Amino acid sequence: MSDLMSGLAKIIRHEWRMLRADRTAWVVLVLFALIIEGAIFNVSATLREKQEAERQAIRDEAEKFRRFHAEAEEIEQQAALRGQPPPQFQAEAKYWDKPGPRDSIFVGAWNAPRIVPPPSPFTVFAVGQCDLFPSSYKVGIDGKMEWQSRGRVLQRLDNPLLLKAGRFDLEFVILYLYPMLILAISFNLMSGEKEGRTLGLLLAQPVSLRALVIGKVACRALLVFGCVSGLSLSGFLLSGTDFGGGAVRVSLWLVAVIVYGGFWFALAVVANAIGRSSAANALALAVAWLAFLFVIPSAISFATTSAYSVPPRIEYLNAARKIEDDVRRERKALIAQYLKEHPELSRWGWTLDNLGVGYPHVPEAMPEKVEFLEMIRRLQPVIARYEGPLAKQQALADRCRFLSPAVLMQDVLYDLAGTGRARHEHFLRQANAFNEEWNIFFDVKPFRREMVSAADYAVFPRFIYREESPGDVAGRTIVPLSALTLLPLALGWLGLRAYRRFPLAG
Amino acid sequence: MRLVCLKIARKEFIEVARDGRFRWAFGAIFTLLAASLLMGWRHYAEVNRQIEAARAEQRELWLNTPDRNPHSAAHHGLYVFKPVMPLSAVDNGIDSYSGVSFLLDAHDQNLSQHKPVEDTTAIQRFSETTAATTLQILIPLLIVLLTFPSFAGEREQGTLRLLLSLGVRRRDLAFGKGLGAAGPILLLLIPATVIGVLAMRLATTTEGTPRGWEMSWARLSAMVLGYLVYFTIFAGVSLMVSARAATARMALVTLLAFWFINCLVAPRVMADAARHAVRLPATSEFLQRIDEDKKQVPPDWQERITAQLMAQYGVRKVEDLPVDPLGAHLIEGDKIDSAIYEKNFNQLFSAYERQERIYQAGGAFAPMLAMQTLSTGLAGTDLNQLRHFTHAVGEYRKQWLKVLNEDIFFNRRPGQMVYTRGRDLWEQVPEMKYDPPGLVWVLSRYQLSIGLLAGWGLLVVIATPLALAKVKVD
Repeated sequence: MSDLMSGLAKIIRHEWRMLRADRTAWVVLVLFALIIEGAIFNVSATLREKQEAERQAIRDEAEKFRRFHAEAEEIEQQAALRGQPPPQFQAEAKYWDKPGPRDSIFVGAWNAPRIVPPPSPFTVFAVGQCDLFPSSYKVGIDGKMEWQSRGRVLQRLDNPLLLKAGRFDLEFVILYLYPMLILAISFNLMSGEKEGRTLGLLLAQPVSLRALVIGKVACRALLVFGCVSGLSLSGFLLSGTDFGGGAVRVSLWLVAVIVYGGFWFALAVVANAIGRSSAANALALAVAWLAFLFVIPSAISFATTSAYSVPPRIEYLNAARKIEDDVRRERKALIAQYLKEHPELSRWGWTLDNLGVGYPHVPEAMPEKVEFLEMIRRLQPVIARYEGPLAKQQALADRCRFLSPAVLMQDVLYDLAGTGRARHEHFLRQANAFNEEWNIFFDVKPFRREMVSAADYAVFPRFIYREESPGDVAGRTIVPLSALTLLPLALGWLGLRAYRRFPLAG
Repeated sequence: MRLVCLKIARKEFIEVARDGRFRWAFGAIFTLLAASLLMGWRHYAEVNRQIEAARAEQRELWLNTPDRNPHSAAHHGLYVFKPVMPLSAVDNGIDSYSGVSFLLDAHDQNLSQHKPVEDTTAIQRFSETTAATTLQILIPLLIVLLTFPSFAGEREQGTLRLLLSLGVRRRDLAFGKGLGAAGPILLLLIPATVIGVLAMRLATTTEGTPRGWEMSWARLSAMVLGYLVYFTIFAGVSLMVSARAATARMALVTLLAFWFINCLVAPRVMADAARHAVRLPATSEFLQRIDEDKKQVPPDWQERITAQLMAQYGVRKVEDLPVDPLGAHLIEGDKIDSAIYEKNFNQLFSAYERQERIYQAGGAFAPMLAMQTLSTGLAGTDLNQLRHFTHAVGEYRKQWLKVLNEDIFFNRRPGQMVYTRGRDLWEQVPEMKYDPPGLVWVLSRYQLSIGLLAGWGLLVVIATPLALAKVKVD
């Protein structure tokens, strides 16, 4: 064993000397270093802007409610100074009577908070899909936030042309360029020695063919992995990326980069084992690169969208509109039903005559609430027509991803970066829970003929985003990461076995 | 044409036809191109059908709006949908990344909503399978693989010296080699174009294709011409590199690097350069700007309108007015709001255009960027035509609000508590008619792309014979 190790060490030292003398390899590495740093700095600048925008949005919301709180206190203090109780709920108030910070519709509906999906601090790994999701969601009574209509879901204003072009980020460098770098320095691993007629000389030394292959790959792998890891980590530090204790994610990212690179090295080993010329190896590896990064992902994408097509949102819009009109026509019957199901309302003095009083009185919001509840109920099958196929697409894509290491790697990168659909759905689950909490807090007030008191401002539901735990992320990445680890091992083993029949001459 | 050129071309063609690897590559790319064209056609026909159905349904829904106050009906809103052009089957451009619907609302004007890309899985971030991607990315790769050994390979095998010793002129050799490479590519493109055109003819003769949205032969011809120039650029560059490179391997590496930078790196780098050079406002910032503009309107504008009306009709009390001042407020208010939105939307789209110009300028070193932007323009799936449609939506919104607000102005009594209207008023709102811009309008928006493509084409046409005249023999 120690002989083998010392033999390998000698080969690695020899390869290192050879590579050191190859000026082209160094030019390529320097270029690659610049590209990595450029990609990191490019995204970290955008990330800082997004983080600042999110902080500003939170500050603006807090400031708005601080202002309302102060105004509510002022109203209550003025009433106390006059020796009167604070203004009471006015069922007959018209909505243009300038409702203020003590009216639940004004605070809870018109000025409901807007929630901004927090940018992931790990965006620098991959911008992913985060630039496609909406920029904010307004709390409202119309059901799940992602299905809200009427401008509550604010789209990003990004230029669609540039969105389509994508980002020059670390994901692009790792997925596309990094395999190219590996293939560029290893396509002639053995064929180069054979063509240079040095293979025979090398094998005349006390070294086996397989040890020679392993040594050559190990030297290149150490160089490439060392450079990519070192450059990326220094890039993260220099660009001021704050991972806030994300050691697990950074470690998993490093592992993913190493095993993904391992796959391409293993592929080069296999290509060289066939024993054809360097030019033939280069062509075969270029075709493999094209297949794994273009053809297979496109085929998977085509298969998933063809098998389970998601209907366009225009159908949803019309369905929602139709339901809205139907429900509006049925308002009276719906309110009667609601009163029947909620006997407590009569205790607070509501009847079919005064609850359904409608426009232009403030309690309009109450029958609207009843309407919305019915709308949400009727919309469920329509929404299912969208969410169902998308979930099936994702499931099919998850099964097909094992066909390409690039697709597996993309999955891992998006999960570690927190810029894929999984983290966005994690955010939406919390946002929807908050939405419900908020609505429960405010909706009951007009039904109870209550106003929002200054003291209420201290106990409002507050949205605090809880980041996914490293355990959850690691759990999601375990399958693709394991597959990515097994692939190079299996391929490398096959490649090394194939060297048994390697033609040393001719 | 000299006979020797044809002979060389024939020999090159036979060599490619006999090479199993290329037969596979051709088969794969042809299948991909034909499949993407057919898929594009199917997608176009389906989207067109859905949009037409949704448009008709939306009209029905509008006409069947329950009786309500016209202003309340305006708040209820109306959706309009952007139609698609037949050439979107070839190049879907930004369609997946821009919204498909526009909500018309009182007081507020909206940008397009509901991007199809939001309802997709992450795998679609790799690349979309469209005819445009095949034409812009894969065919250039095929050209590179076909032409890289043209001179370098002959030189390595020692046949170049032999050929020249037979008295073959370098120019004829180059022309023959170029023709030999063009033959297989045309063999790929001609049937694909025929399939595409037939598919599109079929799609656009289906019932429900809106007026002005039929197949445009002028746009198709311009697109075909553009792609031919694009392929010529790749063929020319490949021949030049092959003539100058020391070895076939060096020629291949150089050309693959050019292809990689052109097709994969340049779009991302130029997109990020455009993002950094022209900063767009965040959505909240954009809406805040609109709110700020609204706050600039004098607070007493409604009182002034009422006073003007009272003076005009010579009455002392609002109740005595024969028209409703609320209607006048709505008419004037919507005019003010529309102007504010128009100003802000124009600023936003101007910023998009500045970004797009930077992106197009990347065509100076990566011809794909010039071809890509021109192709989306001709397919009607670009930013300029999105802006054109957004503007048309804004104009239609004004027309829609005018009908509703004028009804209140003329027919509601001042202070009347309950005022509702029904279908007879909703029918007075015309359907939105939209004519897409013509070819000249589109081409005028892509002068930079056209110029850069033409520049590349001219450079290749001039430089290729010069480079080939100095082809290395040893």
